[in-house]
Amino acid sequence: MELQIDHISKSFKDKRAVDSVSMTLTPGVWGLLGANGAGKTTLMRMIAGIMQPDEGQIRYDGLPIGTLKGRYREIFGYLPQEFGFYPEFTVKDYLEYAAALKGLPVRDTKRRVMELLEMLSLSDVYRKKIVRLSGGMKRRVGIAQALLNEPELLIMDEPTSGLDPGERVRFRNLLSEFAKDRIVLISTHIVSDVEYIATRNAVMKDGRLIAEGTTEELVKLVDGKVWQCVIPAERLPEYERRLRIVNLRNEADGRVSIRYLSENAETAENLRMTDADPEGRAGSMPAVVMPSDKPATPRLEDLYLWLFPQDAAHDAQDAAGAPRKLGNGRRSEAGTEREQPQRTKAAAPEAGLRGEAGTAAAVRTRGQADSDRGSDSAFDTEKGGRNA
Amino acid sequence: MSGRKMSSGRMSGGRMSGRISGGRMSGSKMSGGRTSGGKMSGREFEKCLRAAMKGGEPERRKRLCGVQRGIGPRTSFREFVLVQIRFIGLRMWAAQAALFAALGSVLWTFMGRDFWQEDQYAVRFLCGVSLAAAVSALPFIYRAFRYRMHEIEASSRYSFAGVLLAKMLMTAIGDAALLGAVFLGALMRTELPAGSILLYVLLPFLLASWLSLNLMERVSAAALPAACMAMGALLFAALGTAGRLWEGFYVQELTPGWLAVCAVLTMLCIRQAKRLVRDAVYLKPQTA
Repeated sequence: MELQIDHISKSFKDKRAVDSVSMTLTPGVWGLLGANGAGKTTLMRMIAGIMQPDEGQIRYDGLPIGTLKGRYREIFGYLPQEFGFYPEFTVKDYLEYAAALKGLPVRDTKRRVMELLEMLSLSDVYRKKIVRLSGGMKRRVGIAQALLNEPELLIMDEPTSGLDPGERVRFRNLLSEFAKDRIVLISTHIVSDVEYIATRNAVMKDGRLIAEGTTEELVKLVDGKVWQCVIPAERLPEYERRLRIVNLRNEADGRVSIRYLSENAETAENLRMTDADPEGRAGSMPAVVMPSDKPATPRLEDLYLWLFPQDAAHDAQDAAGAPRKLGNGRRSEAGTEREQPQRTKAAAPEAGLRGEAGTAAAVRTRGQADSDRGSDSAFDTEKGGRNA
Repeated sequence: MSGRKMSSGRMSGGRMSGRISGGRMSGSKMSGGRTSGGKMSGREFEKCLRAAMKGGEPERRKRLCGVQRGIGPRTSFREFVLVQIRFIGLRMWAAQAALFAALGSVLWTFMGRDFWQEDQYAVRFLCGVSLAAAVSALPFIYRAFRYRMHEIEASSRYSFAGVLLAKMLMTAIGDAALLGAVFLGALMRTELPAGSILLYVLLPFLLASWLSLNLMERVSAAALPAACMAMGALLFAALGTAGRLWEGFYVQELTPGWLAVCAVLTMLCIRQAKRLVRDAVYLKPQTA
């Protein structure tokens, strides 16, 4: 069982939403990561067969999905990003309607609906109108409809938005179990959703696939680029200006523990030498004490933030549902709210990836955004087997 | 994992797909991405499957057989339409019935119960009902866009085209029943000849339906209900104006000439409906 995506592209007016994306999906959970506007939803719509690519082809077990038509749609489940429903529908009506759309016979429908209601803890609300349900419950109804036909290929666009942490964990477990012999593709910018359950991940940026690999393989790309240290609280604004802080936590002693992304540890000396005070006297600011600067174990979220330096902070905060600011204007979770100046050393994360690709065996990194096209040939690297 | 093994054994699939692509299209057409899907005949498809199954792994052959036969029992399109009646049809018909009951009540209240015993009013009433029937079903057809169900419907077994066809069939059934009832009522309660009644029921209905179907192709889903209502109002005004400019407009019989006009409009409606259904296989960017 495999789904081959072969150089598919899609443009809308002047925007190239998906640009020559190729990948082969095999059974397991696949995470599709990318910031808003990266082209994930368009790619998923094309995989779902509801949008036609301008170029390229998608094949299921070697057969173009356009040829398989209804046969292809019979074997997949799809949860769109925008979950819609007719306002008069109860949960039961909705699932029965979705079953009819999928062509399930009535006797199978009843059995399957009851199973899913039980599985997704919706039994108590199945006679309620969907419009009256909470956001999380609505999302679960959407997940249920996608699973109705026991699909071989499950495509879910932002499936966990609106779910509370407990529901998200249950959903992840459900998916892991479900994906044993099926292809599950989840698009999300909530990195933790796929970090633990994804067999492989693909990262999209500006319509292109820029990296693909297992979580461990991808995380290796930012190995040595994630640092943590504890700093005095009053120095935080300075650090926020200078470093790409992905997480900060107030410590009991009034200091702040920060986690940041950088090619190298930003020692006090580095900060002093690259800085200038308001009057332009280089190196005149007092040295910042970084008592415990040490490398941190990278996570998939770090890679995401490394690849999407401008937008990722907002996404990460939204995903974590974290308050944007602490009492004194600090942010508590990944990233900072104000725009982070690009530091010289960390200015080109993808360039960093290129340099590091050689050390990240079995990870494939792909072509870059349009601005990087000129160096595509140098950038495209294929290290080791993709299925390693 | 078996999938990985299979990916190593994808040669036959690759060869086959190359053959499909090569057979159906070439050059820029191919790169233009018109995947061979829409144009492959059943025989060609069977041929491709046979080619794909030759020499492949047993598991792969079995899977392709599964794809060929469809996986698990599935309902037929007829059964699908019957189920749709429960979810979409009944509501649509009930709403239309309520609309016409309200319209009748208003007319009775302001013009008296016997208003349509005068031929001039009866004919205008028939035209109005006919126009309203054509226009009032449209919001139900494109409700999927309003409530963002179109993606789920488009990804279903029958695709959005099948769902649209089912909705059109239900609309046609509802309109036929409604206009049939109006025809019978007019036949019993007025002194108009049957041919005239049929003409004034059919002509505005077919004209409005054809224009609505054209609007469905050209206007975005969000603007469609308003556009159709505006079109209905304009047509109603145009029929009124025609009655003033041409005295004989409301005393026509169903002559062969009018019959030919109705036949042409019917053909145009069917052609436009087919076109809509064919194009609805993929979501248009502006509606997606």
